[in-house]
Amino acid sequence: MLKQRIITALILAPLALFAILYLPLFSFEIMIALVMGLGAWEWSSMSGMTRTFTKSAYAALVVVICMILSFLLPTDLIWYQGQLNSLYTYILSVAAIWWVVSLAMIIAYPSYTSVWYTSKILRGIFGFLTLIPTWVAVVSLRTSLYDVDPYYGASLIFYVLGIVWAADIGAFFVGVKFGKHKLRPEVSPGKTLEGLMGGVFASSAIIAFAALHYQVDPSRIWLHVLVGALTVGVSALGDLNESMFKRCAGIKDSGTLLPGHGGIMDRIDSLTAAFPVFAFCYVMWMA
Amino acid sequence: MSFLISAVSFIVALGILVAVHEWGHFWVARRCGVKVERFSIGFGKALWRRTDKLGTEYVIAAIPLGGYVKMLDERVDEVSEQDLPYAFNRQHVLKRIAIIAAGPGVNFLFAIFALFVMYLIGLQTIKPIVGNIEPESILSQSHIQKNATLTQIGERKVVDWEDVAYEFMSFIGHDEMSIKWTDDKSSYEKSATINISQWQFDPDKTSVFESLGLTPYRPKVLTVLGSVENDSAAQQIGLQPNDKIVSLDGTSMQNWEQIVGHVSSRPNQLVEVEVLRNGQVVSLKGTIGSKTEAQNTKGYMGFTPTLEPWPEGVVFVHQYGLGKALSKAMDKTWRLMTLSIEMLGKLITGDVSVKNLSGPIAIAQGAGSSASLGLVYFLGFLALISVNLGIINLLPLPVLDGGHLLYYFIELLSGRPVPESVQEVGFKIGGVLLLLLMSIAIVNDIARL
Repeated sequence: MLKQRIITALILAPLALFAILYLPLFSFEIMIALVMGLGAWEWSSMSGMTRTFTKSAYAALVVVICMILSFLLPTDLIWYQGQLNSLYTYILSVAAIWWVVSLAMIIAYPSYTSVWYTSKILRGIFGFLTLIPTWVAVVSLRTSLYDVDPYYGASLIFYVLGIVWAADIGAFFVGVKFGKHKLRPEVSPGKTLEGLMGGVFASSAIIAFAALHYQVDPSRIWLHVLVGALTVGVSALGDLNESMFKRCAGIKDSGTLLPGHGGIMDRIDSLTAAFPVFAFCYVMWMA
Repeated sequence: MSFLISAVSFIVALGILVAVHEWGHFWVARRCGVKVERFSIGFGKALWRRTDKLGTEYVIAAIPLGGYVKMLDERVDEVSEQDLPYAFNRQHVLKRIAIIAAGPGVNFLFAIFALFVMYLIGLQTIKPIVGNIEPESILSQSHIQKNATLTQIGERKVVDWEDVAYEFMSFIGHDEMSIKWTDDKSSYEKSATINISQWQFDPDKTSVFESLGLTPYRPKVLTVLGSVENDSAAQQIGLQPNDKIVSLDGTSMQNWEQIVGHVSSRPNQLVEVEVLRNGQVVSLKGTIGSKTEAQNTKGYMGFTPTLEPWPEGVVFVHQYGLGKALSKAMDKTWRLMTLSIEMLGKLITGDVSVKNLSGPIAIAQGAGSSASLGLVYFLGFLALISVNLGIINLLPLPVLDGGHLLYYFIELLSGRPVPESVQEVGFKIGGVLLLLLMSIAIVNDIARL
């Protein structure tokens, strides 16, 4: 199982790396839209859709919406005079609100679930709110300052990936090596207090490294740190959000697309929260 | 030696403040009927322990950087059936709020107490009399003259330089500041509102007064020697305290700056000194010593000047009776609290740079320098740090008391505890923030050393 997991990762990681760094912007948009489409396919099951036709239509709709956005706004106009296009800014703001709502839903769970649980349409809309802003966020970050430095946007994407993955990797290794105090033995036996601290430490290291790399002005370090910490937290929220919908639908893995990893959504759940929220903060205060 | 004073004062200060904070949690927990298993000052290996009748273990532990109160809690360990009513997590949310809030609360009470004692003992301070205002500086807009006494900044009265420094700092990031003062010419209070939007203040380089172009009044430095170091060049030449320096190498000396200039530019050179001693001019001869600082060798004599005495009423003592001391202490604590919150706000808006964050090393130095000035100054320092500790602990960051309070307030609204999975999300955000801010503070401290 672990071997299969590592092989899958070894194939996917270079592909992702290549796509982020070298794919022409339009192809990059298509590729991210397709990944969102795969995510949507899995989300449709989590929303209680069962017929293959409905599921395909739902996934196709997500891809089509992304592509309509892409055709409406050519890549060189996404940022105009240092400002993100207002439609994209608006979508990111809606996403930021959605994640606050999601937090409230998770805190209240299972109370008030009756409001949304019975409605497949509402659960489908939650999927849109999760996936489409992720596409907007990734594309906006990738094209940021593209005419100055074509790799700057890529570095922002790696920064977000770094924050999120460092938390997981740090938690995993520190947990395995030093884990003693279990956080919640009955719910998730693997999680330990030491692992949690390891994740916190690893993410902090990435944020500190980024502060040096981007030469953040001392008067703005506070903001940089705050947004970094928020991204760490919100990525964990993405995880909880997906778990909540899976639990409602009574499924364990979101799909079987990635051997050893479960589904696409299980891999990108943290990112669907981290990217939109980070991009929102970036556009509002840091760009 | 100064390192030793710093270290000892730091440990004493931290020990007192941690003990006070944890005692707040402990006392209220007991009142609420929660079983307290351990009350520890410091972490790690126990150096001393005692257990009382109610089964609470009191511990002083080896690592003095904090402390904790361990309450009976089902989330942490197994609790037997009959002990359940005494477990922290079984208490009504309002009781839990009281227990957690008690720590920071007692920090504020302690600040009042420390300042109260300080005002009872009495504290020597200096009236804010202007020595000089730099032309073209920010304060030069105001027509404040030399020898004016500052009386009010913004909405607050000021009576000594410490007040002035605090109130100036509260205006960081504002566009305008109003000042009131009196001068010798008339008894009327004058006032001005000055534009401070161009004010640049970097605490690493200048004091808040210098950055505004203000020099506090200091008595004149006389050309009369105050002290002469043992085995110094000055002693070998034959200089004695109370000698008035008349001339060096035949050049007559009008003021102390001239003397320093003459000496420092002539390391290891021969010098002829004329002094006035007991009404008689005495001529002496010898060699100027030297001192190397930052690869610059300068002439050095090893003597210090005397100062003109302070004018009547400029140096005064804050000392009050019981009632007045208490109300003063409460006012001051409240002002320290509001200032701390204002400064935190400015940190977030970027008006104050994170470069100004101070960590444990700066606190240790502060503890050392205030302790070496005497008990009253140390009390003032303790009050300041206690207030800061209380405010920081109330920040709604999980890991800190304020984070727990946030969860309990959400529980109060939603009717049930915040899920542990969500609490974990909060701990991650709080953990990363605290870890990074602490690193910044420590890096700042080291950069300042």
